Amino acid sequence: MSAEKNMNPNRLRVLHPAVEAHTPVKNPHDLIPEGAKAQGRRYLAPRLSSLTGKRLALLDNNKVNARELLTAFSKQLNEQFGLGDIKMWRKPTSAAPAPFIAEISAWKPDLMLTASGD
Amino acid sequence: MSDHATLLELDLSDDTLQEYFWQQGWTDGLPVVAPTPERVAAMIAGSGLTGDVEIAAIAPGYALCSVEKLAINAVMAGCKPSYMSVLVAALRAMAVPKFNLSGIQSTTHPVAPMFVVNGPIRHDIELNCGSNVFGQGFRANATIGRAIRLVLMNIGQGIPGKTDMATHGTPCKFSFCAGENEEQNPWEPFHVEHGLAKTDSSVFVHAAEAPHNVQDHASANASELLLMISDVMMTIGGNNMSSGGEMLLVLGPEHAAILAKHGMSKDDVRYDLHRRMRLQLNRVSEGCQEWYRTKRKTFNVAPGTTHIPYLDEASQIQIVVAGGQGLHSMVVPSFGISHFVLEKIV
Repeated sequence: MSAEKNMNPNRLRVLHPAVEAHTPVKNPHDLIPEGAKAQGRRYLAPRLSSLTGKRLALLDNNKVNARELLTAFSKQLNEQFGLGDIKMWRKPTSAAPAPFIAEISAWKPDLMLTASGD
Repeated sequence: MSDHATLLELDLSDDTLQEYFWQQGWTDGLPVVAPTPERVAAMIAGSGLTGDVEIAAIAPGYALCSVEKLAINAVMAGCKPSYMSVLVAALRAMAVPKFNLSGIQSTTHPVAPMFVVNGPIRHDIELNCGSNVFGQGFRANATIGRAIRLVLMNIGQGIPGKTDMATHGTPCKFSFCAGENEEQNPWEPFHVEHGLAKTDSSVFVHAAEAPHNVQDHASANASELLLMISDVMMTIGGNNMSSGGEMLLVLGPEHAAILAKHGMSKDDVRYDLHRRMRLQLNRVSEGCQEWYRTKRKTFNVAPGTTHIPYLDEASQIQIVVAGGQGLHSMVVPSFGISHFVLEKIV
């Protein structure tokens, strides 16, 4: 705290209590206490050039109207672009992470949509 | 290891400090103690750790809370340095994934982390375990919970209306910390029940809805008392009904003594309560039942079924003894999608 030397003694000095630009942030996937290895830096998936024939996964957060919203939206996408397979998963509860991400990944979707109904 | 917190320079006026911190969104709405470098250094020293030690990543932002950042917020809350070991353990407990802090911080539900402390440290820091245990008048109880709330806002970034989407919230979000009244507990204290030594100190965290009173001055025996308690526990509309999960029963010492006098162990109490807690389905709307069937197997029953278990298992009922004289107990329902976490204080 060398900056202290140049500070005005007639001013009140206090320490910043909140998140700052240099505050480190953890990937929540690294926080599993059983010792899961850090998964390294993640990148966004490349954008799809077309939706035609693509496989769409839908994730319903299990709140009211999420299913209706996703169904209507996927129907519209299908009519407009001609999707391939469409499959929906429903979380057991909105308040915790989906327990079947591996299952969705194994289905190998080209894109995924989620909606938070409420 | 974390970098040091930035040193800020303000006008030498308490009014300026309060206004500036409030405008930055760094307070819970109440005035705070100025986190001067000297006070923060004393607070860090109280932890027995160095300021750059990272304690836990705090959801939903998952920024890492260092000992220094915790100490700054503890000063602001009015803590003494001797509370730091409780605060460090409390943060570690909340960061365990099964507690589901991310859901707790962001939900519309009125949930607050409730901390119950066991062991010798209760006396060291003068944490109230007796009369008015959930009320005002005790510095450790009031400021430990408050410091955690400031961390949940300032480091976790649980901001009302932005990331903390609670419809109403709860007064428990200001502070909710108590000690177990081990001295008047007829059974083994909570931390011993869960594998620690009586000489250990610990904190456990429960995802709490506001407590609800059980006033019973007249039941003649354990069976009658448990009838009353079980009915208070079966709240219609609570998250435990829709999502299952754990509930905390805080027995007043006099109620605990009645149950023990009639030969009941803690397990006897929880199994008896679970047996009694049968939800009358016609008290729940058809619309809600349809939704709950997607969330809880318990609701998937044959047509014509009139009652279902309120909780899935007796083991979901946690029991502590706290409070003072008087024939009252408290039921503390939960967020439901959460498991309590017990952390040893070191």
